[in-house]
Amino acid sequence: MFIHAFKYRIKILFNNKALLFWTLLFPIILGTLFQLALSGITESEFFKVINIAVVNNDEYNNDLAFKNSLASVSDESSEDRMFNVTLTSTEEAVTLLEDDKIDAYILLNNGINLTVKNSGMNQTIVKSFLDTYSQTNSAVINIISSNPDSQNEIMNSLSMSTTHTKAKENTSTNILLHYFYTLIAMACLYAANWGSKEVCDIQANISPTAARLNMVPIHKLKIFLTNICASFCIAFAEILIVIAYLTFVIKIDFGDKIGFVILTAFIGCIVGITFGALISSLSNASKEGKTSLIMSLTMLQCFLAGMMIVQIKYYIKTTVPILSYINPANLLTDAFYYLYNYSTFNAYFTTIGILTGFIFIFVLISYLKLRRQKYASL
Amino acid sequence: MVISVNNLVKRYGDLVALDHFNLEVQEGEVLGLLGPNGSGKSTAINCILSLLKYDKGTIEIFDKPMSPSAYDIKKDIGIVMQNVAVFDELTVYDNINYFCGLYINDKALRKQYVDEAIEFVGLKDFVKFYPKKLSGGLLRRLNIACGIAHKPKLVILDEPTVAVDPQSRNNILEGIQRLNANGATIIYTSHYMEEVEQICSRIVIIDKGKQIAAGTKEELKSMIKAGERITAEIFNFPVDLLKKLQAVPSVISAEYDNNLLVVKFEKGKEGLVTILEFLNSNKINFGKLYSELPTLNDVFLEITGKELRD
Amino acid sequence: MLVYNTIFKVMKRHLTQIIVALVIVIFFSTVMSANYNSTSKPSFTESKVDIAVINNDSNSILSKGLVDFLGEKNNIVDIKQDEESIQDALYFRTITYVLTIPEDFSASYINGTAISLEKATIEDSFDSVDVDLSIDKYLNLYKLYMDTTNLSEEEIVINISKDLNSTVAANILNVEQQGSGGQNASYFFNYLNYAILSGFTVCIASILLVFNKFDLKRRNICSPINLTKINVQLFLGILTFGVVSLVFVFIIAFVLFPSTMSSGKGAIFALNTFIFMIVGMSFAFLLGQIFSKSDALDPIATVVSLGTSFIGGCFIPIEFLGDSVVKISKFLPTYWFVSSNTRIGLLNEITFSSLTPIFKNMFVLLAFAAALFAVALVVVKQKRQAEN
Repeated sequence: MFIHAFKYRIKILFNNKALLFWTLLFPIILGTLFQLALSGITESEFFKVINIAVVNNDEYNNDLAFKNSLASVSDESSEDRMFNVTLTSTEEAVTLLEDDKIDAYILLNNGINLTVKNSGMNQTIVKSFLDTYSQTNSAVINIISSNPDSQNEIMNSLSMSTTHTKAKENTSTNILLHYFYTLIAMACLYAANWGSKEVCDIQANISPTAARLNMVPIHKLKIFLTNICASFCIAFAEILIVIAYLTFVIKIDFGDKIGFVILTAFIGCIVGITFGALISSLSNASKEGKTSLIMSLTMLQCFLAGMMIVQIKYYIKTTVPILSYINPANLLTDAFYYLYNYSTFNAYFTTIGILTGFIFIFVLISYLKLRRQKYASL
Repeated sequence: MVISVNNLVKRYGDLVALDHFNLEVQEGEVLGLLGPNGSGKSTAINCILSLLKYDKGTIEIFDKPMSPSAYDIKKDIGIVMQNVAVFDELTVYDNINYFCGLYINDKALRKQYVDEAIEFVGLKDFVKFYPKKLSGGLLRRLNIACGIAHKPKLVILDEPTVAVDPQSRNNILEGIQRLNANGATIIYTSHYMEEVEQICSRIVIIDKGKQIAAGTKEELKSMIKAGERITAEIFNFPVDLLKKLQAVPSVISAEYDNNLLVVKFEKGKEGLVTILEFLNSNKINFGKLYSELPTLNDVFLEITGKELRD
Repeated sequence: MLVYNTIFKVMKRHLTQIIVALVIVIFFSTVMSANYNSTSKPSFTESKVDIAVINNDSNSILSKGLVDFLGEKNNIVDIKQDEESIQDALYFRTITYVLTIPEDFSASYINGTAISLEKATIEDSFDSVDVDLSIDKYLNLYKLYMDTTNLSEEEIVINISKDLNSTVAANILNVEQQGSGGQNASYFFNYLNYAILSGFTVCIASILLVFNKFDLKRRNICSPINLTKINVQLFLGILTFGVVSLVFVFIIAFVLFPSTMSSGKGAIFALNTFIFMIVGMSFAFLLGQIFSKSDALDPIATVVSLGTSFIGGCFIPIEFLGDSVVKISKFLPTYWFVSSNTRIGLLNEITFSSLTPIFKNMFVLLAFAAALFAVALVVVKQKRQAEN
């Protein structure tokens, strides 16, 4: 009996091309778009050479120290090149700045003057360079005034300037991954559509076929569970395809704990399906209304989990921590993150534990709603 | 007794859908449940099937109380609902096989039953079709096949012919009679009195949630005063003659409208002879003239004072 | 009247969707304004890097001086100092630089046997370059004094802090600003791309969809009711819905960015958004023609709204996108909408020449609207032919 019902349920679900198409193709399309959009994002954090102009006047030409200093950081052959310097007149510099051809121009007129259009990272770096120059200058003047013979020592010391920091290893900062974690979380939660369908198809007051199934000499919940199993198999297969696509086509590295990644997807699928069952059994809306509601709630969860802006997730975690613990999308994202970034499993299993708790709550409420076998109206 | 319903009361808020409704169905009969739209036919059926909650009353099927978990009763019931209840995602064959499989475990037997059901409703050429490709009539037949494939002892059909073309309708009605001939007890609800008259061995008329009459169609018709109804096409029938006609002792009513004279006679009176003599003696020419025997509509009209198809 | 009722019914069904889209917009812009409140004053402000410092050498004067200096230039954020918290904070860019000063750092630095400071950062990023430069500057100055004078630790630190006051003045070109906080407002309006495409468009497409069916039925079944009249009603209904939603959005914008919205910038933002809404309406019109069932609408709208938001510069600023992606995104109306918003946000003065690029973008948007509308008409025509 179980096998018969299961087999046919798979057949029914599998022939539901629209739902199948969307729950599977959707994450794949979005994954591709993500990859497209995000491929440039980490590079964009990288430092790029900054275009500046210097007003070519007498004061500049006479200030050899400044000239040399600027030349040392704008040497085209150098790896540490910071600036691309253009020598112009004041008017030209203003035009260039207005047209966004340069980020700043420097005018030497009784000291160094910096002119910018907006505040930004590039402008800050230019200012930082100029500050350093003027601060070192101040120190040198200070030293010479007390010890006029120290010029050589100063030159020596300045030429010995070194870097003092060393990067710690093993810090993963590839934020790109996060978008794909939320994507998988979303794909898992999309299984809610299957869960919702199962609820609709077993409630006699929603679909005529359900009325027929209610008349069959088998306990309603037995049929329901069989159907849910079928739904789960399809949803889980879809997730596996999505993960495979992300891994092999988009080449996302989910780390070496692939077994646990799949376990997380497994749990996520159950969360999604039970979530859909919950919403569908609680809501009195039409089928379309339920779909709409599920989609919206999924999007909201994903938003709060940082799908659109990663920082949102952290912002919530630090300001309204409770919200990050009751958001399944966020928990799923966390689970993937912990797997990749943490060497220990404590945080991971805590998260999985909470998710399992959610499954029980969802199932319990849906059960209480579904177990009723007679309807007030059809 | 296959079904016995006692004092069933069902309310939707303030609306009383079933008002102390009673029903008894004997084994082997084709019971017609006749009533206008909204009279409570479907509600009664759904209550009997334990799909709907009801406020009062008892329901027994096969002499056992019916409940949602009465699986030994359910296995012998076949239902054909008003709405087509098949899966769009399954073919004709798969639909029938799926539902049948929830009743019949034995594979060989199931296959035989499914084939028989397909044969029965005449969908042999369409087994590979998906429901969306079927015409309305064929879809209804599939709906029936899904309900009866497991050879239930009791088949309940809730308006299975709504929006079906005449040919399919006849096919369906014949099928129901064959089911009955094969030993199934049938409950058939409809608001088409012709159908009910055609196939039912006993008829229950329901209105406003109450059983208002029950019996064979002959019994029902004998319950009322009206006998023959005669219609004659006459131009310019004088009013004084109409009054005269109305005064004839065996005439119940006489109306003239739109060039048609409609006269109802009491049961057992020679209406046709009477009217011919009346027209002759008054030198009235007439076109068509025909006589009809009372229908269930007349029965309904006389009991409730309104037409069946409102 | 029937038209209006239908519109309301359909709207009600998509209420959650609209609310979610709006919540996202409001939430986002609120967070944005909270985070970036200081960035767009009419004077130059240096970008500050959010850093965390773990000072294991806190008793030394040098280390303390360094940390104080870093604190002046950057925001020192308090975080839990366990490895996982640091990892989280770096990962989510709450901080972009974690500096660990080893226990005996200053002692060994003064001895000349320098040991390195440990940093955890996003490698090769602006932020890390910026902080590295600051640290190097401070330590090099310290070394300069150490090498050339006999001053004590305290004296050197005091001298350095004096030197560090010698900064370069930065002027802003055209200081007259049209309302402050324009950049935050442009984030807000950029985000409307998502809201308009996911909430508003679905709603309108559903209304049209219901009406296409309804209209068909009516034509099949009965009387010669004036079709133009219905269409006009429908159009007005949708326009009302659009304008009412926009008014609602502008009220929110006004509450969040009162100074920007009450300046001339506000009006240009409004115009830009209105034009983008027309694009959204054309898109909705197209969707309503293509689909005969509403169950495909939600997924399509989600793909389009999320997809365009990601590659069109709304969730991720255009300058962060790769060059090839920007080329693709120029084929999306979102790009032009976002590009205008960014320009409006940065406007220092409203002149004809400063507005020209914005008007050009608006023109492109209108062209998109016309194109979508034309495609929709072709679809209608083909569908009719298919029906006959």
